[in-house]
Amino acid sequence: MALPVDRSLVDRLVVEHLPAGLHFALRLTGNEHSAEDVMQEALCRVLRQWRSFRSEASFKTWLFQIVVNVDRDRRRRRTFETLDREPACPLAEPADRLAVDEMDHRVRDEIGRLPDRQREVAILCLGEGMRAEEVATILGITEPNVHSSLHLARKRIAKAIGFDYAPQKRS
Amino acid sequence: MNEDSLDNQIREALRVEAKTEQVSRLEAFWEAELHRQRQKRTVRRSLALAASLLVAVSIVGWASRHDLGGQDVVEAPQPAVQTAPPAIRPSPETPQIDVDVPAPSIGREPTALEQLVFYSHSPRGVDRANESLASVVDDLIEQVQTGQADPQSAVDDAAVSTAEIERELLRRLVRSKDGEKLTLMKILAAGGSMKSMPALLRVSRSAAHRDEALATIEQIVGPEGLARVVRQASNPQVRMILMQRMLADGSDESVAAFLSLVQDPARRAEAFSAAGSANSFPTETLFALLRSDDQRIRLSAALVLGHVNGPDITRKLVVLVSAEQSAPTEAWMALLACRGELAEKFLNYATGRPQLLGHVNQARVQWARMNL
Repeated sequence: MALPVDRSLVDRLVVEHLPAGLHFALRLTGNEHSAEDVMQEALCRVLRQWRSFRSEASFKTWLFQIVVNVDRDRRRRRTFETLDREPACPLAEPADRLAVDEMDHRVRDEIGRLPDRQREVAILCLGEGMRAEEVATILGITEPNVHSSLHLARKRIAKAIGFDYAPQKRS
Repeated sequence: MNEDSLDNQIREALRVEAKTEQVSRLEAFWEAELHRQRQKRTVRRSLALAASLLVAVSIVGWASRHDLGGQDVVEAPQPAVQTAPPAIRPSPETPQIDVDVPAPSIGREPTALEQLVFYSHSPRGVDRANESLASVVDDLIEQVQTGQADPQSAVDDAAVSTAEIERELLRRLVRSKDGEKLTLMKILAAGGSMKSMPALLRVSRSAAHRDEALATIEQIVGPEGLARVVRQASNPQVRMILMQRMLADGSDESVAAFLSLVQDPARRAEAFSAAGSANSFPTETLFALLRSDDQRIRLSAALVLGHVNGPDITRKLVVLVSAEQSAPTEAWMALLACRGELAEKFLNYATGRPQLLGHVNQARVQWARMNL
């Protein structure tokens, strides 16, 4: 049976995983201000929901689940409220744009245009380097679903950047 | 090209670097939230304890009354006649209440105070009160929209209290459309309080109404009160604009309030960034605050001047420290923090002059003590 955790442990784990959470939020939102907003909201939710964390689960996975949910809520709200318009190209501040090459821009542009599920899967699998099993837990989907979303994301990105994409055969 | 090289390309594009200030800001936010939650928990526990005590006292009171009743029956066997206690005369402020004639009751008549309490708890009473408040606020909005009255006099002349008007305006602000939102904010600027801050900060997150919402906030709390609002704001852009408004005001009070944010390690980076990008920078006020009686204000003024630096500020600092032997150490500290040819030249000159070297060394020691 899953054991409830000690509050002080959660407090310690939050501080430990804060940088990882912020990196993930940066990749999801593509904007440092929005990433900070998302993380602040996520931290508030951690405070409210820390009892739902079980010590058997990975804290990082649990925190990322919350970050994904906050980001989804934020995007949903924005559809109705017309909040601040972020640049179409996520992750790219005007000053940074000069520093990265053209190909990166095109890939980032395309990642920003992907449907939410595919974007989240691509960021978690490729940006965060997580296993399909972990990604499935975070997004609440099945492993085959993770693979198919990743395949679709790769296909779209490859097409957008004129890349001849040949998927590898999985054993 | 195969899947791996595509993945590498995507990984490369997804590479991000979080700033250390961002992480430290979030850590500070987490600490603050933890502290706030601990306070809430303490308050909740105290309330629960107070409620339990109240219940215990009520039970004891009821039990003792019950015992007395028993004694009465023994002492007076004839049927007890319930007499109504003397009615409480309503105070002149007591509102006239339209109470229906009650059905004949075997108990005593309710007193005026009880009638008032029952009425205020009945849904009909609440609805009527809300209806009248809503109509008052409707009138207010109309007066302001049509220009019949300015918001301040409309609020002052309203038949209900400012707090009630504020509550109703805040309730409407969330759902209102663009045009009405502006009017509501105009009225809030005249009759709002700190209670309006969360709602106005929420409105300010939308770029469409940000300027109006922040202007309303400034009108309510004044430029010197904006530091408190900055601490409540969760949106970094909003915090930045609020800080720049404090600097643009330029008064001693508002700049001192801005410096209180510089003293806060969690806000310092943002405050520097706001000062660095401010259109209107209060150089004169900061120089005046270098002589403040409060050492924290002097130090934070030196920090800001040193951070912003620039030829103009450096020149003024050089003039200040070379003209006066008793120039504050903080002016020397600001000069030490300045980058540029002029600052470097002067400091080289000062280190070769025994009468100035002491000041330079003192400022260096002070910087080292601050451990920034």
